[in-house]
Amino acid sequence: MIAAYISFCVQEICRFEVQRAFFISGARMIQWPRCSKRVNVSEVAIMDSFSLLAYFDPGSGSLVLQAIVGGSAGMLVFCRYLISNFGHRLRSPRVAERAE
Amino acid sequence: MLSPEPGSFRDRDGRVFYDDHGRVLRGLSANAWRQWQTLQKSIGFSRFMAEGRVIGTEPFNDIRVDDTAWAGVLLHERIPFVSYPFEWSFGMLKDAALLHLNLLTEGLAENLTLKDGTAYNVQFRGARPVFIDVASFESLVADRPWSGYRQFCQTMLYPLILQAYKNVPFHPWLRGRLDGITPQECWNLMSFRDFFRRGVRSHVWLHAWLQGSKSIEQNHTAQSLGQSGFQKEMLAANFQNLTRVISGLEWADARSNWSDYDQNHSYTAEDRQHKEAFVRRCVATQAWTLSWDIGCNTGTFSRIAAENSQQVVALDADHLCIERLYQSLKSEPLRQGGEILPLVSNLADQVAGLGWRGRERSSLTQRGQPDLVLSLALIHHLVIGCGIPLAEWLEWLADLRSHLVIEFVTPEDPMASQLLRRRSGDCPDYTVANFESELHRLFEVTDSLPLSSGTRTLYFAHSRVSR
Repeated sequence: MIAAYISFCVQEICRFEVQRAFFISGARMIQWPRCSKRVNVSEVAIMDSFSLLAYFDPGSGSLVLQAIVGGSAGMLVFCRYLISNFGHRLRSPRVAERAE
Repeated sequence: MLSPEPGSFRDRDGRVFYDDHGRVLRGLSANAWRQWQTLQKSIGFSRFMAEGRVIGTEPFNDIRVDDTAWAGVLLHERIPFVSYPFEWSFGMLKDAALLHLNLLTEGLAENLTLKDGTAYNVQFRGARPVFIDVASFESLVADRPWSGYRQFCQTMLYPLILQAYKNVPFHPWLRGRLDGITPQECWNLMSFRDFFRRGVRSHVWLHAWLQGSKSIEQNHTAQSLGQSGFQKEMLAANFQNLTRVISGLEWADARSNWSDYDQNHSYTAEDRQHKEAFVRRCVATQAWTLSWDIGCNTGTFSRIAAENSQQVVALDADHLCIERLYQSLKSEPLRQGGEILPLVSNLADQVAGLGWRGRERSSLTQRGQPDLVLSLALIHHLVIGCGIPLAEWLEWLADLRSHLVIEFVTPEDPMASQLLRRRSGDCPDYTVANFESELHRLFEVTDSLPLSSGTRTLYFAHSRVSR
C-alpha cells in the first residue's frame, strides 16, 4: 500500500504542471527538464505580498500545515514545497559560500 | 460626534465607531470598500445575513465621511450586550467555531473567504452566535492558504480541546492572553494518550512542530505554497477536517452532571413558589431594557426577568450552569424579545480592561448598565465564600444605579452555615441587622417578602445613587 502511494505520488509529481522543481545531485542543482513554465520570481513576490499578507502574522508553520491536512493532493503540495524550499536554500548565496 | 470602538483597530482596512444615537458604524478603506461592493452582490452573503449568521449590515450614507480616512461607511445592527470568548461556555465557543467553519465552507463556493479567524469576530444574540466582522470577508485567492487558521486554532480549537480532552477550563487562558493558546502550549499540555485523539496529531502536535521550525520563513513559505500548487480543494478539506474535529469534541462533565442541578437548592415547594411570584411581581412593575441575573444558576429567574425585559444577561461563575442554560435556550424556539445571554462570570474576580491600553476589552459595566438586577441567594457566596465585605458588595450594586431584587440568606440558613463552617474566622458584618441598615442606606426599599423558612428574605429596591 505504501509502495502504491509512493508510486502515485511520483506519477502525480511528474504529471502536475510544476513551475519550478529541482533535482539535487551533490552540490549542483539542475533545473527539472520538464518544467513547463518559468515564473519571474519578482512577479510572484509582488502577487504574493498582495494576496498573502494579513494585518497579523498568520504563522508560516500554520500556512504549511494547511497543505498537509488538505488531503493527498495537499501532501503532494507539501512534498513539492519541501523540494522547492530545499532547492532555494541550496541556491542561496549563504549556502553557496558555505559550500565553497 | 463619532467615538471609535477601542477594540477595533488592528485591521487598518476598517474601524468600528459609535455615533451619538448609539448606532454602530464601520468605516472602510478604499480596498475594503471594493471588497464590500463585491460581497454585497454575492448571493451567499445575502443568505448569511438573512439567516442571521452574519450581522445585519447596510451601506450608510447619512454621515459626512472624511474622504481621506474612509472610502465608505457601513451601518451594523446593534448587538444588545457584547460578550467575550472567555465568558462563554464550552457549547458557546464550539458553536462560534462551527459558525466560522460553516461560513468559510459555504463561502468557498462563491470564492469568499475570511481574512482572519479570531473568536472575537463572533457575538451572541441570546443563544444564537452571529458573525460581526463583515470587513473580514474578502475574495478568495485560489492558491492561498487561510491566513486565519492559526488564530482559529489559538482562540477556538485549542481552548475547546483543553476543555474536552483535559477538563481544563479555557476561560483563564483566553482571559490571560487575548491571542489565545499557542500550538506549543497546547501540545505541552497533551499526554501520550491525547496524541491518539482526533485532531491532536495534525492541529496540535504538527502545528507546534511546524511553528517551531526555524527553516520555514514567512515570505518563502507563502510564495512556495502557491507555486507548489496549493488549491481551493485543500482549503475545503481542511475546513471539513476542522468541522469533524470540533463537532466531535464533547465536554464530558456537561453530560454527566446535567441532571443534578435543578434539585440542588434548599427551598420548600411553597417557598419556591412565593419567591417566583415575588420576582415576577417586581419584574412586572415596568419594562426593562437590560436586566442582569447575577448568580443565575439554571436560569429560572432569568426567564422570569425576560418576560418584561428586552435583554437579560444571565451571569454565573459556574461553567456547568451556564453550559446547561445555553443548551436549554438553544433548544427552545426563537424568542421574540427578552433574549437571554448566558455568560460565565465570577463577580469576585471581574474582568477589567484588557488588551492594548487596557481598553480593548471592557468590563461588564462598561458594556451596558442594567436597569434591573436580580441577586438571588448570592450574597452569602460573595460575603462568606469570597470574603467581600457586605457593605462593599451592596455599594457595588448601588453603583449600578438600577432597581434591585435581592435575597438575603441569614447565617442560620443551612447553605450559609455550611459556608461559615468552612471559614476559619467569623464574618461579623454578615448579619440581618447590618444588611438591612446598609441596604436602607444605599437603596430605597419598596417591597419585601420573608420566606416561610425564616432564613431568607426578598427585597425590591432601587439605588439612591442617581443615574
